[in-house]
Amino acid sequence: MRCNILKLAILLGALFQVLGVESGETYGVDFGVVVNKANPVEDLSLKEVEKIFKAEKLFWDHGKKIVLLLPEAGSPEKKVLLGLVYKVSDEELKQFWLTKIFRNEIPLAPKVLSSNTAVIKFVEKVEGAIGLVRLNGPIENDVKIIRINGKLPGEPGYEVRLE
Amino acid sequence: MTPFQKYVRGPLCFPNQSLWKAYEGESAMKKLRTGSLLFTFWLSLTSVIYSQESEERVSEGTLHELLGGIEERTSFHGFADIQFRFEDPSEGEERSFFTLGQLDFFPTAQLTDHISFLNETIVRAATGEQQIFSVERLIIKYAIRDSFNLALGRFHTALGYWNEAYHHGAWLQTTIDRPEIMTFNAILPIHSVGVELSGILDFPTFDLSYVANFANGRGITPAQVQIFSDANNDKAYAFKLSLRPKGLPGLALGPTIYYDVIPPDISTPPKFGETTELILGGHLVYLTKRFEFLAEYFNIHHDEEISSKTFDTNGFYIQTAYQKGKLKPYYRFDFVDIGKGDPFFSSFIDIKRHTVGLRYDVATFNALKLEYAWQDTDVTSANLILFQSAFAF
Repeated sequence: MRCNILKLAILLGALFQVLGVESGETYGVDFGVVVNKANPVEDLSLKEVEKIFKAEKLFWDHGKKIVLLLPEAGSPEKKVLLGLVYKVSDEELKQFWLTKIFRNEIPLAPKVLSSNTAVIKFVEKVEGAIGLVRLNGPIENDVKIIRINGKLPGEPGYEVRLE
Repeated sequence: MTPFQKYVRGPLCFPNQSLWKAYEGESAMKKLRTGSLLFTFWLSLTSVIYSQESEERVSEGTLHELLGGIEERTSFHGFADIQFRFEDPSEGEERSFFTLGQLDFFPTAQLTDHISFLNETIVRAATGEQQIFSVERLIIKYAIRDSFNLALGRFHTALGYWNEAYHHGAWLQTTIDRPEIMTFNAILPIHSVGVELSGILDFPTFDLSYVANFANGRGITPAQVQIFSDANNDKAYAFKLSLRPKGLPGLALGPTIYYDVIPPDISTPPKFGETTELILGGHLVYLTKRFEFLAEYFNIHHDEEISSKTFDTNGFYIQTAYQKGKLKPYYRFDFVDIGKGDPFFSSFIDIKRHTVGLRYDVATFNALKLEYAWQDTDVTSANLILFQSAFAF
């Protein structure tokens, strides 16, 4: 009996370890577009999101500069953006940014941050910032998730997810 | 009892409790059991906590670096190309040679949220195997909003699509050479020094981009860019529109107009007087991930002050390409008809040219291009075989 309890405890511990490690894929999970709480934007169409993430729109309507944050290569957030917005590979995206810099459309490539925490903390500090984060639970920081085509993450028809 | 039974199986499963108790004592057995359970739960607890905090901790110091360090506000890139050219004219001897293309240094900087800087300095061949540095673009840009930007400096004149899309970056363009009407020699006033206004206007069904120049204008020869002064008080004006329907992403079309007064060249009798220059043109571009179609046309009208003679030079190109994986076959037709007797264009000749080629993107920032071209000019015709390795860094 005591042996079985111990075996069960060890098995549970191992199981928690496996579940605790971040998996590379998060299919069926919603991703939220976050902006600073002071940003008056509440809702964006998918076309507007595309324009912002392609740096075709560089200023918010209220005049603040858009500070675009990108996830790092290989992350689930990046895969969502490549599929939904850019529709190119990661290597082709590098060519895309260099071309825009060369044409003086943007002076620098967008910032790349390596984690959801970094994105959220950055957006919290910078009023014009916008980023994409995976939604593991409620976000406690001073940022807000905006509606995309009128939908919030989790609502039927919300399109920003990894399929 | 084996060591395994004594130190592993025994403590874990206690099959022979009497043996274990005899070895370690009952209190030790209880401690071991408790310790094992505690360790297992600690392991599982830390794994859950770790998974929540495995994302990067961002300190205030890191954020400061992200927000403001000078190293975060500048970038440096470049372009270069190396070519092999084989020319077989109908008259004269064939020749072949390797040649360095332009080495293009390209720093940019974000000075503030609204002010940015761009420079494009190239090293290119000059006469007698010399190489010279040339500042091709030097721009400070004030981005007020998406619909209005103000730039000062030296830039590529608002003439159609190619001139502002490809600049001096051979890697960026599909083909090895620029279209004949767009060469740096320059039938068109490729560069200007002055002020540029630009922006994108967002309408429900289309975007409309505009570019307007107010600049020094042409020098006394076609290739001369008036960088430090203006030989006359007349300035050049250029205006370009490009309409992009939202229902058909990748399509862009629009007109171009350019007006200037070319100063007289007192050393060349036919050019004793000023020449009014009016350029009208248009572009039609359709670019998708797979398909490329570019077409531009220009009419350059010259009106000489002294002789009252007028001259019209016409030029256009049509280019199409298809991307299949890393390969991109392409074709272009170039046509230039120089106004007969135009003294300002006395060094240019008519040309018709068919170019077929294949581009292979061997790496993200390196492309190999192989072309065959047949060209027919006033003087001769020629077969050309060209190879280029173009890259960006």
